[in-house]
Amino acid sequence: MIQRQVVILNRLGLHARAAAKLAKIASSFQCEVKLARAGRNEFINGKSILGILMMAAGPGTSLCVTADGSDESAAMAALEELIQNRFGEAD
Amino acid sequence: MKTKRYRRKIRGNAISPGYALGNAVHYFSPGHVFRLYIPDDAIDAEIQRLQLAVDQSRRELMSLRSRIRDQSGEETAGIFDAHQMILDDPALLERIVALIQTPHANAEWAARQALEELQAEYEGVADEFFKQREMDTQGLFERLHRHLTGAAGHEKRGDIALVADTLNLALLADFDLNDLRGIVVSTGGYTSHTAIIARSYSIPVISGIIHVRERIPAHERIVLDGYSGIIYVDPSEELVREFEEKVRQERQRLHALIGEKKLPAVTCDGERVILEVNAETEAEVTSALGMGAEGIGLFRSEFLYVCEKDGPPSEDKQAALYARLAQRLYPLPFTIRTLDIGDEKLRYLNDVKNTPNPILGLRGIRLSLAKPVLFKTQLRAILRASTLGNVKIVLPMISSLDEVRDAKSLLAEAQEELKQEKYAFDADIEVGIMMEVPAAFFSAAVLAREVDFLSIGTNDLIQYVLAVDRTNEQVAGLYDPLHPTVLRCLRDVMDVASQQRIPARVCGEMASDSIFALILIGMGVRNLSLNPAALPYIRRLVRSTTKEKIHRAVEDILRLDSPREIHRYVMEHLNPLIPSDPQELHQPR
Repeated sequence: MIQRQVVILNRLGLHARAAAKLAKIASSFQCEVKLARAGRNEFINGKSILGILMMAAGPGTSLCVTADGSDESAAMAALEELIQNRFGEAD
Repeated sequence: MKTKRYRRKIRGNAISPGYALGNAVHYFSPGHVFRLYIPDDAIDAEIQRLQLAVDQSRRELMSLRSRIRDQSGEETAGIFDAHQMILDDPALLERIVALIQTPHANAEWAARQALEELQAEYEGVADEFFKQREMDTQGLFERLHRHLTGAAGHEKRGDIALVADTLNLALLADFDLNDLRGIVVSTGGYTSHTAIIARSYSIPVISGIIHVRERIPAHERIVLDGYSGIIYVDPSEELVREFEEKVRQERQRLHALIGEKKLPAVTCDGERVILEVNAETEAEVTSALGMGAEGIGLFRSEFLYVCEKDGPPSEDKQAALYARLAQRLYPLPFTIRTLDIGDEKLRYLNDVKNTPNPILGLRGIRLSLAKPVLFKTQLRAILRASTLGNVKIVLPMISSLDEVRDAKSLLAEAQEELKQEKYAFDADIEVGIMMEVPAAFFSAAVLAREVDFLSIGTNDLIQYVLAVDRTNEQVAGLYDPLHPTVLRCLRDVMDVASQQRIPARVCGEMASDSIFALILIGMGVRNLSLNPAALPYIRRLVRSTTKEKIHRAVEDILRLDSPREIHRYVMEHLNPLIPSDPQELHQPR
């Protein structure tokens, strides 16, 4: 299992469209993906858009991401890229 | 005995002209959702019914997504991914299924309950920043509910006659406008936003019908006469054939009219009238060019802002759209009206308050000046698109000289910034103002000295001068473009424009109506910005008119003091001047 700390950088935070992108990418991998607000132990399923929305992660929120399974490193790389690229949003 | 021509005849208000035949499709938001008891042996069937509705909703969202992507781009379409995924999320489905299984509830009730619970949980954790980016569970529920009750489905293809409570944009977004033959609603006026869009797509609309849901059952075949406002439910084959023939003739006439698109709009005695159109989407600009429009006289930029859910459109996004349209129109003029909307319509403005009287509230230029960052972003985007020299800016809802000066100084700031950043732009971009607030009419001479052109917005002018809320059906009858005070306001501002040699155009709905267009031309207006669908008709009208004749008629009209006398005069003297059969040209009111 690998674990990373990431910060939500885009101006709008994890809103519906960003959450959809995240869940879509997470679902494209075999491994389990879990997310939690940093410092809290309430992990949600990263493949569930409702779970992601329920975190209500605004801009600047620090998240803990875990991936567990055969393709965990590829999954983590893809997720980190998405978050660092501000979910491909213009601003 | 002669067979009956129809089962029921219903009379309403014609608010968009045309004939249509179609099958009634109901589109209502669910009112109260009843809880029913589902017995043990029916639970599986109930879950299957839910699954079917989920599948249908998903398919609908997918096709909606691809349509919206074509119209407004990938970014906007992304919101449908989110809806689709919420629908597919096991967390939601398990919850609905559990509510069907254990408390034996029906699928409609269970779906509402589950979505309401989710919404409440979400609001419990979300902070203020996040609350405004709601998950739109209401929209999802309505979609699911329509499929559960069979109010939507296979009949959404083919000849659709939409039957709904009211006209709203979301309703139009859900249908392919090419399949939409006609619309029947219980409320919604001639000047409502959706009515304007329906007219620009030549979709007939009839409104003002109470108990519309009961009187026009779903799936029923209906015929709409969007000129007289009459609906025939369950028409006989003979009546259907009659209307098919009318639809065909109408289309032919329109083709013939569009064939005249290269002919200039010149009156018989040689007065040239410039015919531009009003538009708010790229599709409308395309169709306007196809009909021979001489420019976009009014581009309503607010559509861009309303489509965004999370925040105002970025400068890059706006600049790209404006530049694309400016290039397609070049060398024709492209006049962009800066954001003209009430703050209550933009949910992403954090400090939005519900105002009791939005018509007199923070709208138009007032909102822009109160939000200088928002405004300057738009000005910068417009400037960046102005390199070809055919872009103009028009400021909405101006009521004082200070607003003009403040807006212009923000424009100068934007120009200075762009210069520093090495962007190209038109340094002499023309700036005009919308004449729609009475204060602007009384100060027209002062305002005209500081701007490059005047655009008269008749819809708001009439509403403000006569103190009539045109969406309030109880007083809508008082909304009268022929009121002597309205006509005198128009004449006075045209006088100011000609004294100061500054161009003035009329871009309200009045310009698209045959009778009013005649009066405006008689007053000296030489530039009309029309609803795209009206363009071919108004071109023919201008070409069959003698300016001298209408000028004299308008002088007579301006001497009359009573609205009733004016209406009588118009019926007697102007109506006969409208060429060929009146149905062809008269836009019903």
